[in-house]
Amino acid sequence: MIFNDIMSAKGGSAWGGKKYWVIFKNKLQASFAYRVNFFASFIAEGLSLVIIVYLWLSIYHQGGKIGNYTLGGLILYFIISKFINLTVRSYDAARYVGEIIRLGDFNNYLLKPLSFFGHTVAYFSAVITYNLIIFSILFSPLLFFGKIEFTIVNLFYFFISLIIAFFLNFLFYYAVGISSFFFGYIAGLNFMMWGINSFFSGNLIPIDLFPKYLVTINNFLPFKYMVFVPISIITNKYTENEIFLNLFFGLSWVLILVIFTNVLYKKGIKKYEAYSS
Amino acid sequence: MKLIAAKIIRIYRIWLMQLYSNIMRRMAYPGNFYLMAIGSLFQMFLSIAFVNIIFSFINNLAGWSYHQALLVVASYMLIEGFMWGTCAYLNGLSKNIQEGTLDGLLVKPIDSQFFVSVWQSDPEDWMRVITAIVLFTIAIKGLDFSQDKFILNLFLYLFLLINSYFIIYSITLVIRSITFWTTEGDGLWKILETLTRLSQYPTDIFYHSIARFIFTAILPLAFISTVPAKILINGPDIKLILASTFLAIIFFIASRKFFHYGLKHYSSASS
Repeated sequence: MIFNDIMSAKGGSAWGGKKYWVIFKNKLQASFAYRVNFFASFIAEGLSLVIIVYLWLSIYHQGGKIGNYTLGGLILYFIISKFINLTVRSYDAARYVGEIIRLGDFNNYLLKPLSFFGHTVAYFSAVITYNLIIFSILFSPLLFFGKIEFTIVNLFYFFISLIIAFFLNFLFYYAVGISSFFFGYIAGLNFMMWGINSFFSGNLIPIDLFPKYLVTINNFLPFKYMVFVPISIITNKYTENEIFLNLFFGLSWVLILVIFTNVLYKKGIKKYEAYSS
Repeated sequence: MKLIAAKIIRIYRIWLMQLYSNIMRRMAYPGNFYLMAIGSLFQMFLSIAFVNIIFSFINNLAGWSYHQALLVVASYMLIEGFMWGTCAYLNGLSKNIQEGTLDGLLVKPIDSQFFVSVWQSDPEDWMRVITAIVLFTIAIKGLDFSQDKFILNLFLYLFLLINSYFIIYSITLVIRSITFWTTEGDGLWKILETLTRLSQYPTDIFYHSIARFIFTAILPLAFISTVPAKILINGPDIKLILASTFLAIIFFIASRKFFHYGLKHYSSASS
């Protein structure tokens, strides 16, 4: 019932799952058909991982000790962080949504019995499903050779945290995208948010290495649930209680962002002027 | 000589007009313009925070002190800002090839490569250059320079940054020109973007000889920001200066030839 309300409030009629399933299926098929960009992303992230590993090797080489991290632990952290980047992070959502609004293609969603939010969720769920299938295969040797002592229960919690991370990322960039109602072109906002997100999610440096005041600030923000928390779960840094608490807070942030994007969307649609035919 | 001077002035005027038109286009979205500018400031703060966190655990990074490492970051930001500000990493080239609208630019009575390059620039990204200069000043203030030595080193540093610009520009032109054959060039662009972003770290972190060879000889990342920063700090090194200049010239000539070769494979979709 609540879901029906959200879907219809976000620009469509009542929930009709079949049409979103078709969008999901089409995008998934398209992802399997166009593989060049996918492999390019893989190479790009791989290269960036090599450099990051070298950076930290160089630090340890000089006898530096980084918090409670061993060199192996830190490298493992960045490998899992790359996995999360390649699978559940949806930077493109902002550009995708922003361009639909800016170029006037949004008119379609006003006229057709299709929720804009539902369409975008289905579209990016397909992207993420494809990435998860392929990269889980590519990264799976790590589970055996990466000396990660995990249990099936941990793997399950990790999977749940990845789903939360996906929705947090998606909603975050979706909110940036629908800001196009107010700013028109949102490349600047997207660039700024991407920087903030990368830094505070723990993508560049593990959050527990931040100065105390930054750790405190970050505890009141949703970013750590996007990268740092999933990594901490799979690398056994949390007790079961801590896992539950973090999943709960992550989920709460998802709810907050759903409400926030809903309000933003409703305000935005009042400002929207249809340019195209 | 007069003819060359007239040509340069003409090219400069066209570039200015193109820049003006791009500013007008971007100012149609003033919110975005200012947010991009604020984003550049954020990027500077985040870069400083990143270096600060690393240096809270160590005293030097592969032989680079805190302020020296900041100088490398500032140099990278300068090049990145110039690339976005002048030619937007040749975004316009891929876009025009994909949409089949390159003809409109090719028929203009001016050098095609030049016009295609400056056709689209991101004027708001000049803010990156300003923030880079601020970061550069912070780094320089922390380093000990004698006045006379500094002026000569600064001159050489700026010269090497021009070389860096041409190296990055040439690599970008080659990558973008591949779109003449594949039409879809976004994937390769992602690799290039990652590679250029990596030059914000001193390349001395590659202490393995193979890695160092790859990132200096094959992919000349070292010459983007590490070498200019090294010359500014340590003074002239003829070998490095010559190598940088040689690479810039070779890369530029090769990329120009590749672009013109690619042009022959361009099939318009608009006319």
